[in-house]
Amino acid sequence: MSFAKNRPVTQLIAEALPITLLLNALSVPIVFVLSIIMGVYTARFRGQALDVGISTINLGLWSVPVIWMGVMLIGLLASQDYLKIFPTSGLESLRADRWTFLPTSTDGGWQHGYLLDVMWHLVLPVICLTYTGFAYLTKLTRSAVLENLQADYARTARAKGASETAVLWKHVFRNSLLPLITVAATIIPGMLVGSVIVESIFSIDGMGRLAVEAVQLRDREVVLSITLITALLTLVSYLVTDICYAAADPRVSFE
Amino acid sequence: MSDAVTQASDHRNSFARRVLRDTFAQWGAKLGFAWIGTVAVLAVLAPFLASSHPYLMRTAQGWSSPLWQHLDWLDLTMLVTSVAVGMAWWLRDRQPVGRLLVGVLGVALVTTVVTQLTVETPRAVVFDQYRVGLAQGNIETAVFAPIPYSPTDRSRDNPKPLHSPDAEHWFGTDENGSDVLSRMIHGCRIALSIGLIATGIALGIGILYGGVMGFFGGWLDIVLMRFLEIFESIPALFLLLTVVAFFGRDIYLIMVVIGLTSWPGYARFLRAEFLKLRDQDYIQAALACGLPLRSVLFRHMLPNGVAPLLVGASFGIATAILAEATLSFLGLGLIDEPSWGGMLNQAVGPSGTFALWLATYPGIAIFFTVFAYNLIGEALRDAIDPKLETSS
Repeated sequence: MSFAKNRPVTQLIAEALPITLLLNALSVPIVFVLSIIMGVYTARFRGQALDVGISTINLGLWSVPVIWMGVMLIGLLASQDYLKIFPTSGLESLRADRWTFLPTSTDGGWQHGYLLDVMWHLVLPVICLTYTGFAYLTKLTRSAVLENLQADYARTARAKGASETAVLWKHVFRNSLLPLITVAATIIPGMLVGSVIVESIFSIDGMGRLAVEAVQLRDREVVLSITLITALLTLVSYLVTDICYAAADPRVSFE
Repeated sequence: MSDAVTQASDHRNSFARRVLRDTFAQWGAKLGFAWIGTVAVLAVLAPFLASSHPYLMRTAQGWSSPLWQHLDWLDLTMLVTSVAVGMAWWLRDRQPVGRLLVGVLGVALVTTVVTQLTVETPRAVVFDQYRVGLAQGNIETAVFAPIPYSPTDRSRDNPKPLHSPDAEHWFGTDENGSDVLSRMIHGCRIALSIGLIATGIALGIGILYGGVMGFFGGWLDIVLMRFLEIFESIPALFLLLTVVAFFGRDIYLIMVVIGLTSWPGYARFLRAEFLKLRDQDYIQAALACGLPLRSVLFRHMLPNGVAPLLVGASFGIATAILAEATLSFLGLGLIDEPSWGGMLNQAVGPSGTFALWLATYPGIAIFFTVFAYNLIGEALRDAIDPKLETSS
């Protein structure tokens, strides 16, 4: 029981957990796909303008504090004083749950629907969750790919006439996956913590906000169960990582 | 060819010293170091740059210096310590680095104790008495600091909460009516000290723990490694939130908690280095000579294994600064002390108002400081990693 809200903790968490998972389910793939693409191409064109440019921008982005980025995004893109393009808080508009799920045009005019509305609210939080991850993952992909590009088998693949794209993606990239998977294990719990900040900035009622509120009210049971669930999620992500190892590299097995 | 020559002439310098020299030859590290130096100077001189108390004022009783009377023990300790650091820098070629470090730390400790015992600062401070006094003629003349507002001076004589920047308040005011520029200059102190002290604690524990682990190996290594993994799995931000909620908002407590949660990384680094160094001939020779263990560990092994730790430390400082800023931003930081993160928190009001000046200036300050430490870290990494020289 949470004494502050007078409701069972399981109920509170059942409401909050899907929201946090949704945020992370959206941002983790975005981070990985974008930084793999950036990493592979910075390695391919190492030392050239593309490499230097992307590396510098990523290091700069990495140093921008999430709290500042969030405040600036809200202030400039969402507040009444400047551009009022995005919503400032929450995950859905008022009474959005009465709308149709997909965009439809009804008698009352065009209605943009529940799905688009949620997407619209998610844009700024997802930006805040993703941009800090680029630097680290790109750098990691870059160094792994660089190492493998100079390996003997890459030269063999080129010698047998495989195209440069095939060498890069089919031979080299496949072998550079392992360090990325290792990092995934540490980045996913990190993102859960990161959503504490993002949820507070954008007033999204997820796990992170629940945790902060509970801590401020010294709501012991809620704090304990959130910590437990975070630890469980961390362990699960470690387990998934271990399984991914075996899937990515046939040499690894747990026999 | 030239590499061989410089390496030959380097034989008297330790690896750590060489790495430091290579690092600061890069422009990134120079820029980062320049910014951190600026912040450090601002932090030390904060009470002289931004204060409501005049340097000198003349009343019917004669001349007095309210600024001097209102300096507290921390201001004086920082002044004395920075003089000691300057002297250590001047003596850096004539004395061993270790002795200088011990000297600076000793000076800092002694002045802390002495000033805490002797200096008494007036408790109740009325900041606007000087401005009101000047206007009414009680104070004949007064010489003010360049920014004549203390960080907690809410200008009760002329309150202007959330006022945008103008000639009077160069960076605007926050929601209490305090001067933002003044709060930012005083905020340098927290930003600098939290990074250095938290990382210092973490480095101390990490070096001891990792050194023992790497040197002895065997079952001790296995047991200590499991212990370390337990510590590694504690989510730092959650622990910080909980500790702050249950034990109160104390900056030193926050530093200790950040330090206690971030040491496992350093221990891992040093363990790997020591495992490698343990079998080297000169360590075996030192052991065979019968040198005491602490001498082998800290005189022979540490200087050669410490370089990778420096990379981790400079990123660690950046992380610690971000952690404190985040905590203040969430409204769980210090209450009245100025902090960059706390000012960011006030930028977006509850009713959707947005104070651009409150978001921009503290945000840029945090960004520059974190970026500076990251630049230094990158430069250190480049200086240490021998692979980079050949591959790029």
